[in-house]
Amino acid sequence: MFGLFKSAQPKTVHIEGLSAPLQVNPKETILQAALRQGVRFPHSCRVGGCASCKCQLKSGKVKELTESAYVLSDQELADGYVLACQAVPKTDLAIRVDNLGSGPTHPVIKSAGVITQAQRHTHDIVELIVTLDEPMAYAAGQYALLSVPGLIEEPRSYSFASAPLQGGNRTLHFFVRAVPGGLMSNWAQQHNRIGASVRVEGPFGDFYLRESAQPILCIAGGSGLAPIKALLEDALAFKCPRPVTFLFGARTQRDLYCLDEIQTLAREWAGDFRFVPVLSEEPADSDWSGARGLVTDHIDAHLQPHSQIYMCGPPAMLDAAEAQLRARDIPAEEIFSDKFLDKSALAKSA
Amino acid sequence: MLHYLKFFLFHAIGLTAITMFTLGNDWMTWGFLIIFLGYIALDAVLGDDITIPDFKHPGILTWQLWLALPLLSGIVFTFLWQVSSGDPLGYGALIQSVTGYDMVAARELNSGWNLFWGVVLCGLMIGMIGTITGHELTHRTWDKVSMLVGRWLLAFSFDSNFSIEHVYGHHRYVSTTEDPATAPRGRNVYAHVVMSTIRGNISAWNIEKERLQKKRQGLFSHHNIAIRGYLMSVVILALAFAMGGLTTLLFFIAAGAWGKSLLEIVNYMEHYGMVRNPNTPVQPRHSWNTNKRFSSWSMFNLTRHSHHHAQGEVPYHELKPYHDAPMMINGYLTTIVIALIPPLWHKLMIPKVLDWDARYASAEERVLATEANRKSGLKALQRIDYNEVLKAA
Repeated sequence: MFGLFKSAQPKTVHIEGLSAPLQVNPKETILQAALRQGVRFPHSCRVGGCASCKCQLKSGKVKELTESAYVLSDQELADGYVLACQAVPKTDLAIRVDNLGSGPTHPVIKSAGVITQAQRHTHDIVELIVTLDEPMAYAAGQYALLSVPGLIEEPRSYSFASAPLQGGNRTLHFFVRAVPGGLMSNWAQQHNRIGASVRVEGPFGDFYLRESAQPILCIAGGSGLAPIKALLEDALAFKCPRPVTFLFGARTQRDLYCLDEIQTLAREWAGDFRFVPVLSEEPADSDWSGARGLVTDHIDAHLQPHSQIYMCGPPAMLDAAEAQLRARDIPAEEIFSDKFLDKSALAKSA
Repeated sequence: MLHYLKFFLFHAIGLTAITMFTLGNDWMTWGFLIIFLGYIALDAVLGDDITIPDFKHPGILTWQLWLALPLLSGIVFTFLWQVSSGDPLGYGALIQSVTGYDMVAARELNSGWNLFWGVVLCGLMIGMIGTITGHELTHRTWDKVSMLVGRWLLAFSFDSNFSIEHVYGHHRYVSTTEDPATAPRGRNVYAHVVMSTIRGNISAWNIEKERLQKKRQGLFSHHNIAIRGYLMSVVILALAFAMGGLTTLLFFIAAGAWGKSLLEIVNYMEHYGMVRNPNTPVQPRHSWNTNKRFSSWSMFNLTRHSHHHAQGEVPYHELKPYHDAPMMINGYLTTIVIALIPPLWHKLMIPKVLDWDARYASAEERVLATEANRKSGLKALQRIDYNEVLKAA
């Protein structure tokens, strides 16, 4: 318009650690191109005010739309850092981004913590909110080991139920379901546990949202909602444009929970977002007008071609779902599942 | 074509004000009433505009913004002419020779009330024609012309440094306690005007100081954009003084201060009571939005505030209406009037804030909301403690 952006050729930006380079259209900033192409680029204000999106220029030249000295430090300026939201490539670029990607690259730490809140979601699922002494950085979809000093020394694993923050979380959310005979689950359920001391170690696990543009099919059962909710809330914060179908299996209406949070996801999601709750034991004469049966009965109707699948729930549900997906020619490498078992099976419990 | 024309409504309003100020006496009062009541009535009648047209010539839209500077200069000049005693720049003689209208005789009839409403109208125009376009233009940090025009427009309300605080402060901290322009629950609009003005200026100064330190440039030098901003207002003050001495100067200060107050009232309306953890990205839910047609058309889509904050880099004509975002009480002028009546404001906003907590806030934000409720001093909010709800589980 003012001759500022004369070159009309798309530019290529190589990001250290990512196999596929970004294609940046004329006039587009690095951040806009990254988010458009589904890369989880850290960011917040998008106007050059917060430095969340800073990245180091390894080669090439950019036009800066605002003065980065407002927010970058002396050292960062000297090291060639720029703000991705204010940098329009003038040439092909190579850049390095700290904290890029959703992959589980965070260091495992052990921290003491206190249960600061407990919210009952259903008759057998309670949400525990733990405040840690030191922040824990994790990827949405991962889990942590929880133990109660002096009471339950052998740790149980629980998925993080909320999206991570840049710089790590001091507050962690976990969904704990009552399991018959389960030591931790019943300890958490039975009494008001606010103020109790816990130990948290993590993060662990390689369940996280992979970089891709494919449609997403999420399948969650019971307290398996936790990692799916965290993963979707995190993707929302990064304006993920991928279409989502979310099948949520429960027994009856009173077993459905976090519906407000899921409605918020559906409302604010950049692309299509279909939420399908499926009830398996809802009385036939109830007012429920939604889907009935096993969640696996509804996969066929909602599976879009070339979908990537993310699922978490009881083992029987996951096994049935996987068999069904494979029968529909979904390759194994597009199916990511987070099985939880109770402590009797020596694995994850949510 | 209509989509280009609709944004010229803004210029039509500015020209109306110039005409009314040129005619003088009761016309100034009528000018205010027509524009003010016109806004409220048209927003009530015309409903929402949720179109997002594809503009092939965004250059036209940029010129529309730049035109605000001569327009606002004309408005302030004609207003100050009415309170001067001579005939600055021979404007009265010019009008008489072209139209036969005797401005000097008409000025003799100016009553105290005419001048009062004149100040109110001129301040409203400084807010609408000056601040709104100044805001849009100073977001374009990459375009020197837009930055210069925008900062001069803001200088009419002594606020060129809004261009620093707004982009590097407000957009970073919006809806958090760090942000001077976000009003916490329970604050009334009058306190907000004073507090946000003071804290905003301090913040702009500190942001600029830090930038100069990094660039190893002197704080008290021509590199200091904040000092240059204040000097721009000094230039306008000097021109106002030159037009008619202390009288025109004081009338200009009154109109400019009212213009600046309008900006802070609008800040108050746009983010009142909202909470956010500053480490999480800004989302559409962190602004009160409105899609009222007349406000949107004549205010360059400032109304589409949810999208503006979620994606501050988007120019006004590409902003989306976000009809499911948190909604302001009504169009901008209607909401300003309601904000000026604190009991009415709180009566209408308490349910909206609670609805925001219930439908939009994240679990973490509900914890922040509990703290905000506790500090609000409003009994209806203090009763609501989301921690208690959690503990009761």
